[in-house]
Amino acid sequence: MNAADAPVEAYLDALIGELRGPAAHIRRMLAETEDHLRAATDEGVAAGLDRAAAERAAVARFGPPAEVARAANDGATVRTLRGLALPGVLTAVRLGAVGLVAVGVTGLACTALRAVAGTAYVYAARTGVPYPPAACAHWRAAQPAARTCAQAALLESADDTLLLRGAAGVLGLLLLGALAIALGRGRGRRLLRTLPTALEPTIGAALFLAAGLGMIIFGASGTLVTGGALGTATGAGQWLASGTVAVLAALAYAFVLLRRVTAPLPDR
Amino acid sequence: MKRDRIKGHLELLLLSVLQAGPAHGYEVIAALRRRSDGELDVPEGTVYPALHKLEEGGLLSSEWDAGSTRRRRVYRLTARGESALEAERTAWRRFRAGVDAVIAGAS
Repeated sequence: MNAADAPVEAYLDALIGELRGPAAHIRRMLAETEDHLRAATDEGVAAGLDRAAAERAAVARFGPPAEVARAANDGATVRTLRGLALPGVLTAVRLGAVGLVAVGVTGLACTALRAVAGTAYVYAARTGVPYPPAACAHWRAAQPAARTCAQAALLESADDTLLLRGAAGVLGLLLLGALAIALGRGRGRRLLRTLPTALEPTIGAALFLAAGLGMIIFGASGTLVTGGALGTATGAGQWLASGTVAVLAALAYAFVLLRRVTAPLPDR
Repeated sequence: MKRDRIKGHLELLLLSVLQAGPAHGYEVIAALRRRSDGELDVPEGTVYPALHKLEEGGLLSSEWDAGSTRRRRVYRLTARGESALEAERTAWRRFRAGVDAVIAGAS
């Protein structure tokens, strides 16, 4: 089919190639253009023109596709960004929530590794530098079973890690639950489909993999990280356990990504 | 009238046409041509983006016409559009009076 056979069809084909912006905007512009051109053609035919001539006249009055598209595309970037803002934020929140759940799982992984490899391997004890007396008093009060300040520091670090990471995990689960309820199956789910389906698992896999490998390499190097006002230390086991959890999360995202890119396209 | 001259006033013209009642794009363009005795000649396709822009600004609302065999969208003036139209009309009359005064003085 060419412009001489069907001017309206050729015009619509040319226009769709020029339009930019969200799909809904392009669809609406095309629907209104087609309705207009068909109505103008019918009017031309009623006035005595043959259909092809009426179509040509309708198309000529409508204006060149590039000029019409230029007017329609004005503000397309703003429209696109506005359309992507909410799905983008929701995706970021969901990734963050999964991250929090992963942090919670690392708390459990550290506890499991502690049972196997010992508390000192996971949480580490500072060497060469004496603990501040005030911190020592605090730890020993919190851990009455500990025989030394270093042992109290270790046990306190282990308890705190499990507690804080567990709290992060619970917060992540609550966030995921709230998102599932808010997004539901209808409009909210369609909203997220505005973004490419591969985007979220790709970002998730990349971030978790980078974080996981980084932590494993760091843990394998045996570096002790001393931090916080109380001067506790983080042992190699903590990095290795956390890194393993992050790599597993990356693999889970990679699996989701693989399924999404190989699955048939959903009905939109 | 030259297209460039219409461009800056297209929104006022569209709001004025729609003050008479809801209409779809084709009717709006036909009314524009009829009410100006063919003087206002714009590429018809550029009217739709202008209608969309007015709707995004809250001056118009629109919905698909369920009663039509064609897929056409009907536009109507909102209360905000009525207020904007009155303000634009006043501004236009002042502008026209100013231009008239200058032109009359020069002749």
